[in-house]
Amino acid sequence: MIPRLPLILCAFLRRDALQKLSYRTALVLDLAAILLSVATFYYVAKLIGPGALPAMAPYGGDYFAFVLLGIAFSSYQAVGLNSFSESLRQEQMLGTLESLLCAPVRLSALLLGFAQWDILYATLQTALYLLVGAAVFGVSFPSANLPAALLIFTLTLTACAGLGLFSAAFILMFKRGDPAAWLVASVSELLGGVYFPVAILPDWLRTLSLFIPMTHSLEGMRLALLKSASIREVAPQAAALAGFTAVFLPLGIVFFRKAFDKAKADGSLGHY
Amino acid sequence: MDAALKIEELSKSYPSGKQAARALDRISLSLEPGRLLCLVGPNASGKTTLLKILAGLVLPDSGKAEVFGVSPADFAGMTGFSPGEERSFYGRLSGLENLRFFAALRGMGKAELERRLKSLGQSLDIGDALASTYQKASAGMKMKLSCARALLHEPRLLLLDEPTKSLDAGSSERLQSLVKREYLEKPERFALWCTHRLEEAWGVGTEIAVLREGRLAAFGAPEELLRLSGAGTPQEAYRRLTARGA
Repeated sequence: MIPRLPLILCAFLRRDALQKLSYRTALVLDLAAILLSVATFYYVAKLIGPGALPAMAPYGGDYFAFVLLGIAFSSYQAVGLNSFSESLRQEQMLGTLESLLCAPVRLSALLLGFAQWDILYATLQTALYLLVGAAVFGVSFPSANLPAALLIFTLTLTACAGLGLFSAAFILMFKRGDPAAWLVASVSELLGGVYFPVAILPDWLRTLSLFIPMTHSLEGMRLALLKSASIREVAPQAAALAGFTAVFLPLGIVFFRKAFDKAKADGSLGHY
Repeated sequence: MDAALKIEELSKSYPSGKQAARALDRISLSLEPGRLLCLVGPNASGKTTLLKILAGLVLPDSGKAEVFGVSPADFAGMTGFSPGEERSFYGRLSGLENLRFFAALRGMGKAELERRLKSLGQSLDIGDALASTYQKASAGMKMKLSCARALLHEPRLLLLDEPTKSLDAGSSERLQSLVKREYLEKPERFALWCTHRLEEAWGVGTEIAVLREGRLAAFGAPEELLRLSGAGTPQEAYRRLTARGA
């Protein structure tokens, strides 16, 4: 019998929740780190003071709200980029990948199953960032445009998922060493606008930053949540993310499929 | 009657540096449903490769393998595979949670799973392994769970890779009885059992395939192989059939 997608996703969700909850200390430390991180940036923001940086003006002038959104939402790029490859690698190390592949489940359903826990967990972390920021440090988003934020969020995941499939393909072929994720992740902190607006970068770096999904993702998210930008107003960011999706998702699928077939031909699906 | 397993000129090599290591070399055999084929052969003779090709996990270089008339990949929903490794479950989950997860991937409902677990639990004596965390289970219990997972959805094609290597004598006998009960003379089913234990192969298999260096050295009913090799015991027959130049 071929199971339906919701049943497969529920099974993965339950499995991942049970595994995550079995490491309770790590879970608590993970969440405590959020509190410490928010507090650190709160005091950095106090040092800077409101309105001190002209580059902050397009985002309402509050550095704390700016950086809070940056660190909270940057995790989604990491999820899109790393979720497939890290899950594959973990299944190879545990020896469970071949057992999973014996089941009559489409490859796309398996990949969705791999990623969904990470997406949910990143959402929980993001919510916690915003909750701590609001409840403890008084940041607020009174005029947030949620539909626009949701659009940017969805396109961020699809844009990064394409790159994530490249990353997973590298894991299937080379087991370790994943240049796609390494490159994007290493330049994103500098050029993606997590901690400061990309407007303060030199022109050539600002141009480079346009080739990173996170730049558009965080810009769109900040405009939607801090400046109540409508869907029309975040259209340039949405279009850029849709462009990344249109290019990298189909290419990622083809590349991953080829890597999968090659690993199957080499008999190395379960190797690590 | 249509063949349950039909293998024609099947070959497989693995990349190994600049050369290719040959795992299977033009294997051909055919078997009817309701049979239990035992695969024996020295280490690296191609047994696991054959099982993995039939499980749809490895692609052959050339030749053809068909299970009940279709390719192994198309038959995955009706195949149960127990790999010969301990590492194929999630260590932090209990045996029951693991089996629940893999059963869900096969579309099994709760009632169906419970019915099947009750029956397999008794036959394989896996009560303790179901309740405890997988990583705390003994090697034997882990192997029983692996067999239980392979049998859970009552597959038409059962593939067992050295299923008794960590089992005590009693557990081994119970597993053999279970597989015979569920597969022998069943018109819609077929089982392939890979082992290094020759008495076991001669006791379980309706047919035995002896592999040597990727080739099919001998194939036939257990008594036929004894007769062909002129041996009085399975050990002697195996020695003669796997000797170089035999």
